[in-house]
Amino acid sequence: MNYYDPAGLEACLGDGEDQYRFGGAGCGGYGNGDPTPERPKSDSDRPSRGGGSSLIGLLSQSIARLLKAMTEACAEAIGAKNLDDALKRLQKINIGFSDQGELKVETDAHGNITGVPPGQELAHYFGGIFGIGKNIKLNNEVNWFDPNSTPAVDQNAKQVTYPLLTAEAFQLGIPSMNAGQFMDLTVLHELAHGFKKRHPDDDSAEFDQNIWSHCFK
Amino acid sequence: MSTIVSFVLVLGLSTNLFAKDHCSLVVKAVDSEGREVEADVVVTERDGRRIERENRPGGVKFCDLGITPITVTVGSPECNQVVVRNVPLRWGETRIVSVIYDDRPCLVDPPPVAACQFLFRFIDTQHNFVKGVSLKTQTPYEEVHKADDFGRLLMKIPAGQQLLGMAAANGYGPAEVRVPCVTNNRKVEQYITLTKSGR
Repeated sequence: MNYYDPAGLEACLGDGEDQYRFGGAGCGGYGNGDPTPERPKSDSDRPSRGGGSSLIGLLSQSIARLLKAMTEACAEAIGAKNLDDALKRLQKINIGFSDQGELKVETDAHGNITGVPPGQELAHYFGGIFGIGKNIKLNNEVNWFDPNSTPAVDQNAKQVTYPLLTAEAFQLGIPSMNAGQFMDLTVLHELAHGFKKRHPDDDSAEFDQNIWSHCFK
Repeated sequence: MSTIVSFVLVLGLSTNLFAKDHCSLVVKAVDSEGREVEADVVVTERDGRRIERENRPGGVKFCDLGITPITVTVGSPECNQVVVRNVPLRWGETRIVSVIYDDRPCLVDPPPVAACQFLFRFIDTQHNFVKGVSLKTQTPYEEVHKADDFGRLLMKIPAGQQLLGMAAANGYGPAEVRVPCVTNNRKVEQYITLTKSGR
């Protein structure tokens, strides 16, 4: 699926300065939309016109922001040869959602989330076979509309709320971030894997900090 | 969690002493199941010349090399990179190097966590691990934690809190442990030296 400029997308790309930054909040669809948005289980949910309140619409808006705001420095940070290389890859690569399972967390005796067991994924890059079949899948168990309200289950099978925005902001060393920035960062992270950037399996904070400092400031 | 990096170096020689245009080296990068994988392959010659290519089906060729040993590097430096040093080359022969490069762990993207992991390794002044260490913490919670038989203790504490406690073991004087959980301390491995007590 190519999300480049899906139908109605221009409508959410205004002239405000925020639109030229990743994660700008001016593009409608999240934050002020349907509080119980549809959460598709697969890519069969097509992009909605105008980038409405569906999950795919949210992704379309994210990709539009990334295409608009990509810079040479950001392209280099994600491993692309140059700006053009990054834009072409972003336009061509198949990006969608898949159910990668309900998030499991580890909590301490006081109920704080202090870790995740192996196998938990926010998203995944599949390299295909020598470049054929490359794709990116975001975990649709994450509440991408309000990541701080993502449901999870702890080691005692107790349902908990996983504040992903707070956690990502901590890993980046910033005061806060919004849902749009979180999705943009996740897409760029996966795109960087497509340019052969790698990180240790239990720690991608430095990897994300590098993307953040080059693409969001 | 430990990641086991393994590699197998298979050296093959294809000899054709009379060939004028022999190719010096073929590198094949495969995963642990023998499937060829997408990876950057870098050959570095002794004089510092560096050639970077992408692995491709059947392996990637480096033809214009000399006869001094070279270094082959496969994969990203951040995770599971494989380096094969001093690969010998001979004039008139094609050296084939197969490398097992497993980058699957490097593509796992766990969700972020607002917490820190501190691994304390309790040692004596000779750098030997100390058995029977317990850590009595004051913050973030008043608790007692016991290190394992190899003098190690993993603590996970929420962001913004500070771990403050006193480590003790029979025959050793106490040692204070103090580490704040801030972004730069997300993952800390720290030696705590315990000094033998007077008697």
